[in-house]
Amino acid sequence: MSSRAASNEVFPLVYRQMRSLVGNRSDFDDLVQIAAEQVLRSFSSFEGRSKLSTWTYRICYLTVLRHERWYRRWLRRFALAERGDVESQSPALDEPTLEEFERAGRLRRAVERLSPKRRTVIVLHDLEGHSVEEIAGIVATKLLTVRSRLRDGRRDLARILCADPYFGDEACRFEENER
Amino acid sequence: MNPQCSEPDLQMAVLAEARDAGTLTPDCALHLEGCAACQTAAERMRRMVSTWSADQVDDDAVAAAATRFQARRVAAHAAAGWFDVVPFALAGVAAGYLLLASTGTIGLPWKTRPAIDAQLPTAVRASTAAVASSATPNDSPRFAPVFAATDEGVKWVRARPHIETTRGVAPLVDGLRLQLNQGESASVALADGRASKVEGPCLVEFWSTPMEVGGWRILREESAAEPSVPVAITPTAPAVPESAVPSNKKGGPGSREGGAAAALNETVSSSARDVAGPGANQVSVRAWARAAAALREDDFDAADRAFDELGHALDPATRDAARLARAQLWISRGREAAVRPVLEQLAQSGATPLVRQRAAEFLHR
Repeated sequence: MSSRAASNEVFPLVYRQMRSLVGNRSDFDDLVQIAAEQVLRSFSSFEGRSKLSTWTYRICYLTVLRHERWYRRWLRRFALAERGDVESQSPALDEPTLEEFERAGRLRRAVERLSPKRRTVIVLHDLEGHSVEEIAGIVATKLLTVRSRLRDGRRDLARILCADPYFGDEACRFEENER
Repeated sequence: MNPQCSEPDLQMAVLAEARDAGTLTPDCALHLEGCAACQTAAERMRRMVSTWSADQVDDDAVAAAATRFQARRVAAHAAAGWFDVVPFALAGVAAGYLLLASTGTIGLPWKTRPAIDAQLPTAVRASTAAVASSATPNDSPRFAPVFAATDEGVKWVRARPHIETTRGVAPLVDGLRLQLNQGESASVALADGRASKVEGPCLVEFWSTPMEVGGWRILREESAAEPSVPVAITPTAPAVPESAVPSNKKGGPGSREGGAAAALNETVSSSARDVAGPGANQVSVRAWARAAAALREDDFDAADRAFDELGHALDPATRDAARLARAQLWISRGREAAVRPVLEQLAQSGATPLVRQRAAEFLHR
């Protein structure tokens, strides 16, 4: 497969996967660029033992991890944040309705507040619909670890969203009571 | 905050089925009815998946991003090319070449002798080469002028650096030796438009130096066989003022530098007076005058050049006086250590008692 054809095939995949992992942050384009370059460089070594999307997801995941480690170190060094927390960033305004845009933005910001490892599992499992086995292959860890991260991530996410007007405890309970 | 579910494994199954919007198994359905935490978590899961699914990028955004990616990729590859270094390397080579040319280590191609020789008319070039080839290999070639024989040759030669005598017009080339008899004179026209007149009897040699791009230095050598006193003498020698040397900026009145400046003034004045009398060497007179003028203007380089020229004179008295004056000039600039060997030599074997005495005085200061 030529470089151009490979680029045409894998770039949309990488773009969507990276957007799932990090959303529309200001460094989103840079992350996509790095990950896509990495995918194209390593494309000849892809042996087909897993799905292409799983392989590219792993590269995106590692790219995000590396980038956030570097960014936290940078923040700590220059004391812009005490614990090196990565500030959530507003997504671009490209959604049809303001209400949906706001909901999606709140959800993404909440997801971004999770730790990178838990966030990856939550996004891949709960939001993207990957199985625990697939995720274990992507993040290269055991099934039990994935399940543990999934449970902890859900608990953290519920705590973050507990006061949200749409995803919060009261809103969801009210909706359930209405039914 | 919502209470925790007492059966985490069952909650995992409930949430998985809520996410897939599938039919609940009996166990899950039974648990869900009695667990408020699982009800809230399942509803939150449903809403999250719904919101997430609606927040997907469209193909246009992906295509635009792909275009950006390709553009950045091409730019990154182009920026990483080794040939980006080439302009900097060329600039470095050019700067180095100009530095070497300015310091005289190498000659500029349009100023080198071969280029001038190549422009000579065939007849002149052939005779010049014949004379040059007759020179001894261990010495720089010295040859007599080859005068242009035709009007066209004269016109061609006059357009370039040349000497013009009553015998004709000859190109000014490296190693030219011109002997002027008594009553003869020669006009020397240089490449930069300057012209000088030399009067005989004398023997003049011309040579180019790497330090003088496009210029010529003239060495006047009095022939040993001929009288060293030129016939044509400037009627009045240049007057040297009493205070040719400006007040030294570094040293005070009693300082070593200040004393050297005063002594230099005296040396230059007396030397200029010595050579200004009847029978004086005109070249020396002019050189002393140049030195005095340079000292008046506090031009160290010009004075140093004048003393250097005088230091090559054949007349021992003039030469040693110039060396003493140059040593004093350097002392006035705080370079005692550099001139000490010269002063020692002058104190021991100076050409005149005055030079020996003054050199010794400076050594003992």
